[in-house]
Amino acid sequence: MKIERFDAIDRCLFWKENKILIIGDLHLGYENYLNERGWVFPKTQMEETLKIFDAIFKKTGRVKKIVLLGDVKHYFGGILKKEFEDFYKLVEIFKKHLYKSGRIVIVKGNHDNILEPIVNKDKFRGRIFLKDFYDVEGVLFFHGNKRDFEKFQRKIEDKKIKLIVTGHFHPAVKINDGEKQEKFKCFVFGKYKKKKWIIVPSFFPLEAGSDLFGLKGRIFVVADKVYDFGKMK
Amino acid sequence: MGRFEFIKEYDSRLIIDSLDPLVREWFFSRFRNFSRTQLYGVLPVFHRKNILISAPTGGTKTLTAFLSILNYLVSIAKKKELDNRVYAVYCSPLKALSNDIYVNLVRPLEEINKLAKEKGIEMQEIKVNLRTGDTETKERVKMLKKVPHILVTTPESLAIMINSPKFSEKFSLLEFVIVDEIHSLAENKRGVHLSLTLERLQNLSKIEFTRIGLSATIAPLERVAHYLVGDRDCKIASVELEKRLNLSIATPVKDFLETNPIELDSNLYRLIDELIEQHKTTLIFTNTRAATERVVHNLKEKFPGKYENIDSESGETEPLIGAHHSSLSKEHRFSIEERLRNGKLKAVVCSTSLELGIDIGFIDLVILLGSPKGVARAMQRIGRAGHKLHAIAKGCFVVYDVDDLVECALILKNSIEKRIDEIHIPENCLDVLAQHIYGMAINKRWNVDEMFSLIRRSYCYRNLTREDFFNVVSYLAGEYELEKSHVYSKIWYDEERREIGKKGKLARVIYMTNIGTIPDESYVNVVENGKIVGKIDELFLEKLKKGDVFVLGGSRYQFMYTKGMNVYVKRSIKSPTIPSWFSEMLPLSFDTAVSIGKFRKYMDERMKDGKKDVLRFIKDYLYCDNKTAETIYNYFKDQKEFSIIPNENKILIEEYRAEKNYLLFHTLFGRRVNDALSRAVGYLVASARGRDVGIGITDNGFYISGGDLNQVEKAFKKLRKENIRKILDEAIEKTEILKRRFRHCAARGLMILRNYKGRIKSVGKQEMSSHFILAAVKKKTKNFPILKEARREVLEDLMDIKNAEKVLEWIESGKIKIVKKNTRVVSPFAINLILQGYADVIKIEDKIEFIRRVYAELRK
Repeated sequence: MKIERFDAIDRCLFWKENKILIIGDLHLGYENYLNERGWVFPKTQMEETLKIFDAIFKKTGRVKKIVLLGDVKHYFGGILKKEFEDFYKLVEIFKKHLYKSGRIVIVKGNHDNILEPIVNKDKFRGRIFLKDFYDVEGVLFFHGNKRDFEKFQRKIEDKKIKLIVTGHFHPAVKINDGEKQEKFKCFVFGKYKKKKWIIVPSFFPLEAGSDLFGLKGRIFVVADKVYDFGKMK
Repeated sequence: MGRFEFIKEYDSRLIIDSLDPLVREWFFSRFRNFSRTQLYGVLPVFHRKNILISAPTGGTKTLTAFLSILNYLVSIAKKKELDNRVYAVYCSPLKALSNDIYVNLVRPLEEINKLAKEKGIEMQEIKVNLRTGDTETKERVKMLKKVPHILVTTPESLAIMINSPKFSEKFSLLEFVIVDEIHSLAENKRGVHLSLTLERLQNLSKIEFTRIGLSATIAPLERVAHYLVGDRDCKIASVELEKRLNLSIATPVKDFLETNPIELDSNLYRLIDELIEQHKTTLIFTNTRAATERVVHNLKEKFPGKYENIDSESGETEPLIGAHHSSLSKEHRFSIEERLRNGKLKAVVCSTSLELGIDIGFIDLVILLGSPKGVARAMQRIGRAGHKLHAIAKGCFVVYDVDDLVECALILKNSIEKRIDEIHIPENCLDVLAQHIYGMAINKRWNVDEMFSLIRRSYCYRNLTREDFFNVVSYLAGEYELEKSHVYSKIWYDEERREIGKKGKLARVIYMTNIGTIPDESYVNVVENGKIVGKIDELFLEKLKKGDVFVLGGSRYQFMYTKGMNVYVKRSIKSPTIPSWFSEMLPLSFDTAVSIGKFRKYMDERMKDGKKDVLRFIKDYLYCDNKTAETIYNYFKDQKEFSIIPNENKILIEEYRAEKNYLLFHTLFGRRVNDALSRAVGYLVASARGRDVGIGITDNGFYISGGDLNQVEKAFKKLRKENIRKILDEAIEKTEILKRRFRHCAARGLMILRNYKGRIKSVGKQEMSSHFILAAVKKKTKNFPILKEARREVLEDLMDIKNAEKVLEWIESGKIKIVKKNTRVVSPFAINLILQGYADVIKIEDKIEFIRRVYAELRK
């Protein structure tokens, strides 16, 4: 399914011409965050995450760039040991599917401040970049919380920028057939101040996301494939 | 199993002889004679026999339980032999009992002390202390030094105390335990929790303490006694009502079907107003919080000035009517109770909150607005009237539709004939078990077999299997986790040494701050124009679709959207599309339901006789007046003309085509049984069609929408006593209710901690995380103990699978026949089912199939 210049593959966007894979909020270590709060339950987040990436990379083949739209990790305060581990594991997987010269770009989310020291490690130097925003050929990527919109206002309004792509909102939609409803992750393709705007759903495997309060636009529902549901009333 | 012996009243001289002279003198300075309950109950306690005392509310039960204990304590206080330890524990489900305890314990002690002083008798002070969740730390510390001889507490606080290293020592020679309102505890998980607490308490005490259970009218008493004592012997005192019953039914209109709702409403309130007018103080039970508010509001509105007093001096208005229900503030409830006791109110309207034994003074009429749904409950409510000995308990059923009328008439008959419905006591609850095993492990290192046998001493776990027990142990020991690290496990289990112990420095704190069985309910705010207009249950929110209209606090609102914990609505004049009260609706008891089925059978057989004969039969059978009999007669006559009269031996399936095709099952077995039957049938139909079906459930039947008669009949035939449990296990797998119950069980089983290091987790967060955990648990194993418990809770406590199996057995044996009928209009017996059935969807369709279908429909 095409959304603007991208292919929507599962919950990610793929920019074929530039071989860029765009990934929504991952929230690595969410389970461990709950564990830290005294909850006991079996963990599946990483297993599920890797399974989904596996299927996605089968469709994209090797890529040149991976753009992570922020909130890579979940925990606010510091960084949990498990988040380290999961992050390293994921980077290893990414490396396998990146060109030798390929890069990983992370635009900072609300949960990501602490990533700095990790990204600056020697072994990652020149491969992973932590940025406030990132633009390629008129497309501006940033995380998408309220502060971002204020902070990058001038950049957004820049004439060269034709399209913005963000995560942050975890958009999901309840589909109702009159008898029952089910919730699905979805892309929202709308507008922000006359600029085209795509919101990418969270990657987070065990939960769909939040209702689309106040978000308007065309809805692309993520299921076995991506379905164009058109404009939502 | 121990022996249960029904006892008779003892000779009052024997009781007098058992009393210390001082206590004897005090007693007869206050009372002329022993009450009937005391004649039964005082001596067995004196002889240290376990006893269950069942007597209708408003009796003298509390003092009966305490008299021999006071007597004993006074006798040793006189000898100055009172030790610094707990002699007796009094445990009640109610936090707010101070008044009752004051009257029956504190005041008697004060009076005895005064009498002793007058007579120059020296006596140690007998201390009574209240300890509940509200007790301040300062008080608690004080109690450690000056230990109360009689400890008054709730099940939850008792559970905390037995886990407190210092306080638990004070139970080492405990002699008496009183469990008050045992009927209301035994039927839910609070009671299951308490039953294990009692066994652990027993384990702390070197003395086999005497157990005294106090209960309202309930059946069967042996089962409740068994719950109280476990394997031990127990005496049972079944005390007859000391008051005479004066019961009646009032109908607001002659013909419910012919009357329009507005007229019905105004007649209803006129009738209630008249009844209040004719009596000094009236107590009205409405079943739901919403109805409570509505009745108070409407009475004030329709009869201006009548339900308030204007003080001629200050000009302030003082209401003469008040609402009382569990969502109201403590202060409000106390003030209502206080004014009620002082005779300052004409009427109090409550949901169920005044059923239990808070002293509320003299009530001369109890109105049951809408069916109380069971005989025990009806008796308990009516027992609130005429609080003095030998007075008459006057109760009036006010009904608002004809199903309600028939139901109330049968409850009235069963109340008079004392056919009490059976209590259901939950068993083998693995979440509560997990909590206790953790608590036990915190107290000391246990031999696993010793722990298992202690647990099995509780009635609720007497049939617990080793497998279930060890599954819970494994869960707590973290063995279901993927990683081998077991970092977050709560206990350790050493298989070789067969020992269990706690893990983690925070164990005790985690346990103490998360204990209990009452789940946090989640309510969301309803917001109109930026203002909060009320709250609705989160389960109800799940049902709401955009555009749905519902009633809240007497106004109609249209649902727009939700954001966080807020529901945004606008006012609407459209008629409601969804009833708003189902989540707090009481289910009709199975026994009462079956008795209505029996009455339907007698009516079915007699309808061919002349009207006069039938009317006479109705009047004789139901102890009712002419008007009521006539209404009931017409109702049955209409049903017979339109369709078939279903009854005890005849299940009727009607096919009725409206905007959907409805298959209406007349299965009068109560909502809990119908919930089980409808979901099982619905699931079979849905599986066969590969499409979801809708279901609707009431006490009197259920419907399936989607599918035709042929499909549904086939599915119903496939359903058998042997396979219903398995089918339901599958059918509930994707339901909201399983998710919700899983959250409750996960909190009780300490999977989700509400309180961790002082941080309280909101219900919303609990909710979110529990959905997530449930998904994870399901991916790993099917038999995770907490998930197994959530399924059990849905099948056995929420639904009634046991009686559903019984019904299927009756069908298989031919006792119940199935008949079918195609109807062009809804038959009279089915009207409420169509109008008010609690509706749900049985999901069979895969999420992917669903989106494909919806997408395809969209593209058309």
